[in-house]
Amino acid sequence: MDKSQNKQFIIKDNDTTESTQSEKTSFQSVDFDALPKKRRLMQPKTSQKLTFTMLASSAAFIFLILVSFILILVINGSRGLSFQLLFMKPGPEVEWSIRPAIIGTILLILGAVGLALPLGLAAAIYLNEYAKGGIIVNIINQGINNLAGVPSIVFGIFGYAFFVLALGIGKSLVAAWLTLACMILPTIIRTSQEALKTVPQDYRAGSLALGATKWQTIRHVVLPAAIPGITTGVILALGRAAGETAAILFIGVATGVPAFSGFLSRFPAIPFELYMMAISAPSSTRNIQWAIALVLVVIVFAFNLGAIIIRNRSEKERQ
Amino acid sequence: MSQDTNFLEETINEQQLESETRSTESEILEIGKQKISWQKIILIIFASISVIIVILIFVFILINGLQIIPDFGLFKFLFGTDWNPEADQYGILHGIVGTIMVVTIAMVVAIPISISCSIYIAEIAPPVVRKILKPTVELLASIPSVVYGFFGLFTLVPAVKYIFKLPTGENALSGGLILAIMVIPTIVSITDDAIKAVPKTYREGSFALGATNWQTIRKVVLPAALSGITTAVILAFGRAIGETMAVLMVAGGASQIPKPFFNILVPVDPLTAIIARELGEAAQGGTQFHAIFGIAIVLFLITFTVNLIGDLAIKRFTKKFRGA
Repeated sequence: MDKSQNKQFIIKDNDTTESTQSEKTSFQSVDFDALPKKRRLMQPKTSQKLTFTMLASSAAFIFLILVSFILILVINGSRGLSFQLLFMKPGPEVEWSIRPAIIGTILLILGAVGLALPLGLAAAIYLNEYAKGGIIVNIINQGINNLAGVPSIVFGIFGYAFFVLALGIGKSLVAAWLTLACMILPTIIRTSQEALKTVPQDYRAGSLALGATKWQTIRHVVLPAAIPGITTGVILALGRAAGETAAILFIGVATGVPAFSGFLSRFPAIPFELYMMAISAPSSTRNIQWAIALVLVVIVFAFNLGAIIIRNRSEKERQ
Repeated sequence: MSQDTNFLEETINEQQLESETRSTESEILEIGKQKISWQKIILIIFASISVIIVILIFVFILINGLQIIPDFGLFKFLFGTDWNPEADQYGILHGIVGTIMVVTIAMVVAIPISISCSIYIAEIAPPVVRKILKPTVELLASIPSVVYGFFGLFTLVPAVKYIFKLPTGENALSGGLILAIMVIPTIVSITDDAIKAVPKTYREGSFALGATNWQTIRKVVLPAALSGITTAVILAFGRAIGETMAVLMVAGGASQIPKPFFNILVPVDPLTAIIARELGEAAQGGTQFHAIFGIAIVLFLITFTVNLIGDLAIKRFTKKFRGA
């Protein structure tokens, strides 16, 4: 009797140690065991319903902000919109016209992207096709990330100190091109890198197997295949440059100047026109101001939609 | 993927070397030289331009901005309460307080809304809703800041003025709310990516233990995505600090420190707004000019640090799920 009791006792002891061990391990991974001990306010399913409604309403709130934003913009903007405002040269009969500003913005963004694209594309090709890691690549990546995080007003003040004053270019279109090119360079590098990454390795292998050199492969096989992605990046950069104000504030943007009066003279731009009218024009021109804001948003949205369409089409083609 | 290319290159190089082993030593040396092609050198130079620009920005802001120390004094500059170029006073404490106020309001409003929105988009929303909401949020990100400023000036500012019965609606609250709308897309899209990056097996394991969908999100998915969400918040913080046009137009621009300091219904003057408003007027090489570049140093250092922390957080997050 004594022996068997002893045995039972031992077995029991083993059992308890095992169970505590299993409790410990389960506690470490997920602490659902702790759940039943808590006093519940409501059933898990009801609390889930409640939180999901709250989460959905916050999403709906953000959606509402955008929708009301667009509605207010379109309703107010369409009142001030006219053929005269958009397309007629400013003169004695035409008091308010943003034709010079529209042309000025187009020249501005084309020049800035024209400068940034070759540089950015080259950087992306190096990082994606040639670089094999190491300290140089780390430094370059860090530089790109930091450049992307620099606030636009700091680009503006840098452009003023470096391009306008130190290099002696003066407040001009060229200085604004250079400043904006610095600002959109990270966007172009990162989107081009993404585009190069989506080109399948087989393309490169096939070209190399045909005896092409690495550079020939990049130029004739990889780049043509990456063009949709690169175009997306370029369009996004154009959109960003079109709406930029703070970076060109001190670099020569002006109101009431002709659309183009030389590379080294001052230039107009839509966002600056909007800013100056908002803070200094009489309130009787409020509708015209809304119309300018509408034009700017339409331009930027058009660029973004274009980028989305190109991205979707190339994704479909690949599938 | 990059490993594959490396492998290819190596095999090709090896083949070349094998075929050339019979030729003379000088020829082999020439192949070694050819390996560094001129294209590669040009590409390296182009690739390092970003680094050069960052260094140039830093150097040129420093050259002009450090002059404020001999001109006016570092302590008086950073902690002086009086900014008045006509009286040669260049204390930027009101700007620092203004920036802290608008950014704090923006983050307090934006973080809960955008994180819950991204949880909804990533985990709960049906595919159709997700397909509508995600581009919508991205579209919100593309609106230029001057348009946000204009919009805030003629909708939000009158509303704030009316609700709180103030003489002017241009104050820290309006500036903070506009900033909140501007940083929402940043937080939403990065948080969404972070939640999507959590491996499916995590969720399946939790469901298998009998957890509800919400329990799984709260106790498994969100903790796993935490570093990604932190990154989102840090990057949004950096963007809010550097934002200029919207706060310039909406925050009021009064060179004073609010009394009491937590009063959000008085006009404030964030650092970026001071730069934008006064650089045009400042005489080149004068004390005001140097003070404005001094503000730019402060801004650059803050955003630089914030972005560095953000990058580290991203690296930690990607490391965590590389194996999964």
